[in-house]
Amino acid sequence: MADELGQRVLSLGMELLGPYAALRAGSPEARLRGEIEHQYQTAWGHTLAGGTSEIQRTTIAVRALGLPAEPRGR
Amino acid sequence: MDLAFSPAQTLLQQSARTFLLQRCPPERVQELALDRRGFAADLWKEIAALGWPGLLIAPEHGGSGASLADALALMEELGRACFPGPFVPSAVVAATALGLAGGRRAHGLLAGLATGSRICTLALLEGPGRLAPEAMTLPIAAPGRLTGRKLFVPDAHAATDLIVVGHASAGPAVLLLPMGRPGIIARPLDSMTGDKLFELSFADVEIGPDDLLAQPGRAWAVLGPALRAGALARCAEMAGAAQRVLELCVEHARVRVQGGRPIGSHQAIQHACADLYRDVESARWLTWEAEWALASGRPDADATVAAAKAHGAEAALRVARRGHQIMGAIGYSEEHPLHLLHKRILAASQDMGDAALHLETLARAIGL
Repeated sequence: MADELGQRVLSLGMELLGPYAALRAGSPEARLRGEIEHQYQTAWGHTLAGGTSEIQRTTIAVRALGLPAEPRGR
Repeated sequence: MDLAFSPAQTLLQQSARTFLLQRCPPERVQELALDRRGFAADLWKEIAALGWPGLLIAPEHGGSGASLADALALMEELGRACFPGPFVPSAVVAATALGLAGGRRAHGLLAGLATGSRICTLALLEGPGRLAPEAMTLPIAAPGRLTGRKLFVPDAHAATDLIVVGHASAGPAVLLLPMGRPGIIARPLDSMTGDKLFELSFADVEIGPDDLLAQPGRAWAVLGPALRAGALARCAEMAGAAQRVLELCVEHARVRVQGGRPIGSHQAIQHACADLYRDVESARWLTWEAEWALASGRPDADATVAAAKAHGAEAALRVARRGHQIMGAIGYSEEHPLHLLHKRILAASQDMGDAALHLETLARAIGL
């Protein structure tokens, strides 16, 4: 779930850069070598790949905290 | 406050949706986004035939003299389709400013905008990237010579005319120039949103007294309402795009089966979809409330526009971002329209003043 923190940090970065935020690496006027733009675009895959954040939370709730599991599919 | 659509507005939305589904599908939007100099001249011609660029132009100048509400109804559909190109700068902001400015040159340009033969872009932002009078300091003298630069000028490659905002000795000043005036140099920027943005340099450009769009002291009387209309147009665009994200997510949650049941039967996904719904509805109704406040001349109209743009930006971005989480891997592929909607929302959230700027306006309006 550290990837959710990454998404928050990159969203804030985009906000701070204002109209410069969307400029890609190599564009005139790009800030921070376009790094924030690139990382922002990739960030939304990180909470999906290798088990979504929802799956991770269910794992914590059931395995670590001992809560009852959701009923299985019909 | 009656916010129900008129039959004409409903018809406009329906016909726009049908047209855009056929002529501006996601594949076309993606193709234009990837083309660094892309401009859909054919689409612009077709929307001109439908009268869209002339909606806010008075009938005596060739437009249909429609209301801002009509234009916002259309903007929701343009947002839904991720329609690319200079509709907001040219058909909303420039058309409004030119109508308020009046005069022979403004009227001549309005007639061209209405037929689609001309397009007017806006040179507003400078280094600080803030849409505020004190951050637009390009020195203007008319008659005189113009030297300096502007950033994030949309569709300078497609525009025939240009509104330039700067500062003269008497305060804010606004020029109307042909793009072809010697000394105006456009350099493309590369934006991930697919918008075609440019740096414009003015190298000793000759300025005559006729180039002033508004007389000294009147610049903001012309620009203020035009920028407010532009901000609301972006709000409606974001609301339309966010509504589409919600629909895609709900449909996906209904049909995508994981572990033997639709993912939408899990509360984690149900609550996420409910949050999307809340954000879409609140963004949309704040926009229409602001339109109503403007149209009825309420004293708090400025504050309602600022609230709509600040909230709309944050809410629509939340929708796009959460939408990725609901859609999963399919929404993360280039073949799926979600990334186009996300980019459209991102671009609209920053154009015509970002959330921070509008929150400042709101803070002042409530006496802070």
